[in-house]
Amino acid sequence: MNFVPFHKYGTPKYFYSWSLALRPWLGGACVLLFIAGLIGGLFLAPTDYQQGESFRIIYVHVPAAWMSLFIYIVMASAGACGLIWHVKLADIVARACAPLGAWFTFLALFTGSLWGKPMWGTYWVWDARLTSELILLFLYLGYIALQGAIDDRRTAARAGAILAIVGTVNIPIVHYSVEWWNTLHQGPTVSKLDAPSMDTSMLIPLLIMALAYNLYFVAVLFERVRCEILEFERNTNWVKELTRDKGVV
Amino acid sequence: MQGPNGSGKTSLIRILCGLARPASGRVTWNDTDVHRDFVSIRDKINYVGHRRGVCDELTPLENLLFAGDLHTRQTHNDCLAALEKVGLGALSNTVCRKLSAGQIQRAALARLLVTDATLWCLDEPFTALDTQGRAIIESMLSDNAKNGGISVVATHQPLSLSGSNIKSLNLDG
Amino acid sequence: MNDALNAARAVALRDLKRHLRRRQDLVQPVVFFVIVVTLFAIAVGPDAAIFAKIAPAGVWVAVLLATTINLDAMFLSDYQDGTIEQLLLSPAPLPLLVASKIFAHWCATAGPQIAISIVVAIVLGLEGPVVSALAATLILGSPILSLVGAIASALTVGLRGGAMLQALIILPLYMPTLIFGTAAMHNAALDLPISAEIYFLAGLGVMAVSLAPFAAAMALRIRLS
Repeated sequence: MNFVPFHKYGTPKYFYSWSLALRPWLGGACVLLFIAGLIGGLFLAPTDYQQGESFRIIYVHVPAAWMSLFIYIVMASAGACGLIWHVKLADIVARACAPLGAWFTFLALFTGSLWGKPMWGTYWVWDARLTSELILLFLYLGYIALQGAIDDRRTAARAGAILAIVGTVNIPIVHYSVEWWNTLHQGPTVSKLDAPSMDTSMLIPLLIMALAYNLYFVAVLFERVRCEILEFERNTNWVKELTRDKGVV
Repeated sequence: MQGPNGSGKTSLIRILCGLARPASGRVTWNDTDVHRDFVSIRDKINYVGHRRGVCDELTPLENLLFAGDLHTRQTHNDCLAALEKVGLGALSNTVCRKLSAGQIQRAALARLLVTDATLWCLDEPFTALDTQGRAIIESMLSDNAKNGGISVVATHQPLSLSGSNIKSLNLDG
Repeated sequence: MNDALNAARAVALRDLKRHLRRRQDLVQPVVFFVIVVTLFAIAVGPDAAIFAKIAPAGVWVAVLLATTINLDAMFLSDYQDGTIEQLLLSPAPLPLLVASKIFAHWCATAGPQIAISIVVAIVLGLEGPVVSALAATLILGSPILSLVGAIASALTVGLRGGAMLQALIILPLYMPTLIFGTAAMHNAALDLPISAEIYFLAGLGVMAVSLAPFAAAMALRIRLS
């Protein structure tokens, strides 16, 4: 297989143009899916017999939690790519992922806490799942702090990659914590191999929301990566031409 | 290698001796790529940079024995002889915290005599040295050249070396 | 191979020599540990029953904080005087030299730490099984703390905001060790077996010993490039 043309699309310059072309599609699809998911979740899904209406926060909480783990894996993998194969775009992607991941983790913890009050009677409990998710938030914040403290972007990316890879140990702990320990948090409802323990009418909006969150992540990630590319490559000709056209000196 | 402050002398020396990676291009010495095959030539490179590699809590002799241990084993007497050569024979058992900047610089440069390294990368080696110290270091550089080694020296001051091949590189700002 | 081991031994001996020559650096973490435990005691107040329940946790947290503050000693002065660059240029494999440094640091700091923790635990009135659980988890846990701490220390050596940044990075990575250490002590207080926690700590220890020197070595290479 001829790798050369594929390699070209991974360079910052080409990434800038093709991701810009995709922007309206990603944004549009994301908005549509959000609307569909929210309507499905908030209005069409039947009321849960045990929890009443308050279960509907699941449509915000669960996809956010999934994203927090997924983004960390993306960040660690991109960091590893940059570290091992010196791919510049991978370094940029890893750096751009971190604030998004941190915000999704915070969202998961915050919405989970709001859900905990009516369901368990408390905003917070120090069980395995919540504690490990909180540790994940701290790992993100530490990663962002480390990248911010090192001036040279390249060195910062490589140092961050090591930190992200070391912290990957936490991801299986978060995921399997509900199985390994006795926790207050409920067990997994959607798993890869078994049939989901949730009714289809409730499941569909959840999956739509998960897809919407993913598209949101991709769209915003691309925006951030484009900004970082302009930063990284500010001394190259194509960036100088681009900014000159837009009237920015 | 000469050039004004900020022209990149330190960065270039660090790239040449394998500590830093270049953004593009390769560094080869005797047809070996310095970065890719670093392991095979590590014992031939010696580096004295801005941070001199001399521990304050140890004596010059202990510092040299440690430097020797990191590369190839050197005897006590070899290290003492090296210290004599740079003029620190009497101070070999004084803790470096009590030595002056020039004396610490001499102790750092004594490291060059204690290993088998033939490629010397020196970043501003003449700082804090008096005229006698300069003369000692210049004679060391000449000896290295006579033995077939290369010294890459970044400095502000002109060198006066007898009978060796000096190539000068000027870096712009 | 012989040369490499020789270099590793030289690194360890040099570090130990340095620690011995600055004896106040060995005493300060111990004093800090006692101060933190005192803070805990003052904060909890006069209720002895509540304090007896929280004391094991307080001791472990104090150990963590003292270890975190002491991590600077591993790489900072070597970074400042240029020894790390000499280690990078040595023919001996860097992970071996880093492991040697970690070992020397652990020898110099863990011994006093564990000893004072046991003494403080006894003075605070903790029962026999809890004290022996504390001793066992500290002996297993302190190498993990040193090894994982070395990674964070290597990543942040010489950076501005160094100590705070190092703490921010290292404390989430310390949490699993804390969880198992204190779980063992709580179980011991209830006369339950602590073998599960000991196995977990041993497992974490094996992982740390085999992986941390490589990560720390790579981090040093990155920081000094």
